[in-house]
Amino acid sequence: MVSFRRIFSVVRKELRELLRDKISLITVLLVPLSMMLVFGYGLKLEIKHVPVGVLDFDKSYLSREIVSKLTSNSEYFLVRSYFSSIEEADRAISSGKVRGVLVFPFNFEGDFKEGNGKFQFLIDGTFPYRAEVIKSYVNGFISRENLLLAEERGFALPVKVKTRYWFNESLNQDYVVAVGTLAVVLAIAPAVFSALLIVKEKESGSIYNVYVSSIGKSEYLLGKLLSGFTVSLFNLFILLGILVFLFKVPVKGSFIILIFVSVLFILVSTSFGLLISAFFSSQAAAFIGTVVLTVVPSILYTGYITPVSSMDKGALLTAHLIPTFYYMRLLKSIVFKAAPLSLLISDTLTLIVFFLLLFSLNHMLFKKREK
Amino acid sequence: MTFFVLLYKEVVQFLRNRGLLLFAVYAFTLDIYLAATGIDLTLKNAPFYAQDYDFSFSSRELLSKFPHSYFRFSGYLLSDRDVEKVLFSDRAVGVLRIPFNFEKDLKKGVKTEVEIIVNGAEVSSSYLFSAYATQVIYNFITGNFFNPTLKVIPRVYFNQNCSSKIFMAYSELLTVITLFLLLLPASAVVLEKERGNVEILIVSPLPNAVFMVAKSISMGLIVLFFTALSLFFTVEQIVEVPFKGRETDFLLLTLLYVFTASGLSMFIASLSENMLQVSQLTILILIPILYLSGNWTPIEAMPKLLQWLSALSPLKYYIDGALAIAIKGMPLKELTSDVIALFIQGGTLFALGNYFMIRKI
Repeated sequence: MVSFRRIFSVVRKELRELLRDKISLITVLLVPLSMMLVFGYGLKLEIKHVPVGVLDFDKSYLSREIVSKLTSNSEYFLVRSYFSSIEEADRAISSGKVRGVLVFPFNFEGDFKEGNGKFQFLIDGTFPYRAEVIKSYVNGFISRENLLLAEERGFALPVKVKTRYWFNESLNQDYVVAVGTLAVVLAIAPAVFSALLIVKEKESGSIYNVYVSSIGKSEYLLGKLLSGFTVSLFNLFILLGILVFLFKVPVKGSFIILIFVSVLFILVSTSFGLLISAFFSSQAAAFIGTVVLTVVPSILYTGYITPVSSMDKGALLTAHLIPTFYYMRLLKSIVFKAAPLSLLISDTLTLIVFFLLLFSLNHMLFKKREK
Repeated sequence: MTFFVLLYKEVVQFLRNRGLLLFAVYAFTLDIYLAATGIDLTLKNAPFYAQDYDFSFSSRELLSKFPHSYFRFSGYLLSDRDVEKVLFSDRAVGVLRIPFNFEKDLKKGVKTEVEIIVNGAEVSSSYLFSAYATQVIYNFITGNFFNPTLKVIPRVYFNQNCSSKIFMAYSELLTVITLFLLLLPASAVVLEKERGNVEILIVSPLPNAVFMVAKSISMGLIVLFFTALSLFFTVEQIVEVPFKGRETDFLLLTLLYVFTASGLSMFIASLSENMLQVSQLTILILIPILYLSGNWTPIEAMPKLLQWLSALSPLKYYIDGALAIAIKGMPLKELTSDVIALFIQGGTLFALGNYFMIRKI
């Protein structure tokens, strides 16, 4: 029979240990907080103030006009330097001094008057996303210029293109990043904390006290689970507070459901950490293992920064094996889309299954004697 | 001699820790493979639907203009409810809405409006989707009326197709290197503290400095070995990312970085009494270093204060240098500023970190 008294004595022991260890206590609280603040605030995919250079063989009114329009009217580009040869421009890109170079050929203005003004834009492709965005800025700029030129000749384009963002009308990417960061932090921090809960006793040898005591396997594991959970629950409320009050993310759906699925997800990530803890016999291995197994999958396969819809079959299959994938979907559905309960049920059930699976695996692996 | 015995002891200890070895191998192989092939920040094959009220020759022609490398046309939608459904279930990045009489209006020159509806709950794809789609539509329409007089020919250096694979492979490798360099020396030291071995060392004839330095250097050598493995095997053979520069230059730069990062690791070790503290402090130091490196957010787009602070992140110089060697094919001798910065930071941190550690014991 499972005794609650024995479970709670494990919880009490763990919490007391943590409270007495000041550095651990502070860092355990600071880790999720700093992750949330740094990536929630800092992860900006918006590209601006791109340093560019100019290589102008034409030295005409038109080329100067284009450079000044491209850089003065927007905060996208900053002219860092002027070059006199292509080698010089190449070297500046290679050394990272500029991220792009505008190249105007000889007789650019003359060609333009004949209706064919072509110039080149060299872009540093080291960071592919930045290169694509820079390309789109320049292309968009040229389209607008062409339209203006056509209007000067008395022609107005009959078609307007309007962009509307669903779920997030002002396309506030900061909201999306903040919500995604919450999911990633809750995947990592509870797991990392609980990953040491069992293995530390193995390494120090105090696990033998557990082996010979009257406490049952399930009681011991439940106690460890609950102590990890309690700490993470505390962190969860801090993080939710940051999300709502600091990042001011408008939650469109129900707050109660949001808390419910988040609590469920903490249980999942805590039991994942415990599983690692029960399996390995060195704390360094358990820690590195948890970091490696949680960070990359929960950033890459969950739709945190890349869309789920663009994944190929293999990646999508991998994604379905990762609990964070479901939690991220739930979070976005609740916060941005105010999805009805019927759309949330299946993902919630999947999280419950993950929890039961991980915990029973834990139960199977943990033996009350040394191998 | 004693120094080499200590080096040998640390390396053997690492190799016998099967769990740690397993994860080291995983992190430097499969993890990098997953990151390189799994993530693509640019718009690739983005699925989109069309809600075509016109269903004319022109509207079909417009849809056919969406280039396949960026977009994937997934079908027509009939009602607003369907639009909502595909966006809700994340089956589309966006939907294109073409109005009634699109063709007629276009021919008569009457004002008409094409709408792009973008899934705003996605981060990277939503901007690029709307920018590219707008571009495609403008090009299509202007092509019907006049020849644009101004043209720009973008040319992307080093990575013509803007493939994320190249960047992600190296970026993940550098992150994994940093993680191991921060953790391994600190955990090697703290483990001795936890077990009480440190007391034995203090009373032994061995100078404390030798013992500490041996720890950082042995762990650095292990990381260097795994870096080489990852570079020659995972990155070049499995992920098939080209390496433009010289591998020795890359490894030399890594060696320099080893000093910097293991110096930081010694700081962690001097603060920590147990592995829980080591693990939490490692993450606490790793996060700002990663962020300030400019790997994710371009440094020029950060607020001014953070731009200055980024000069403190050793990973910034390492990433700048390593990517210049690997992707741009620069020789090490042209990267003097990065090398000097790493050298100064590394020297200071390594000396200070070890000094603190020795004083603590």
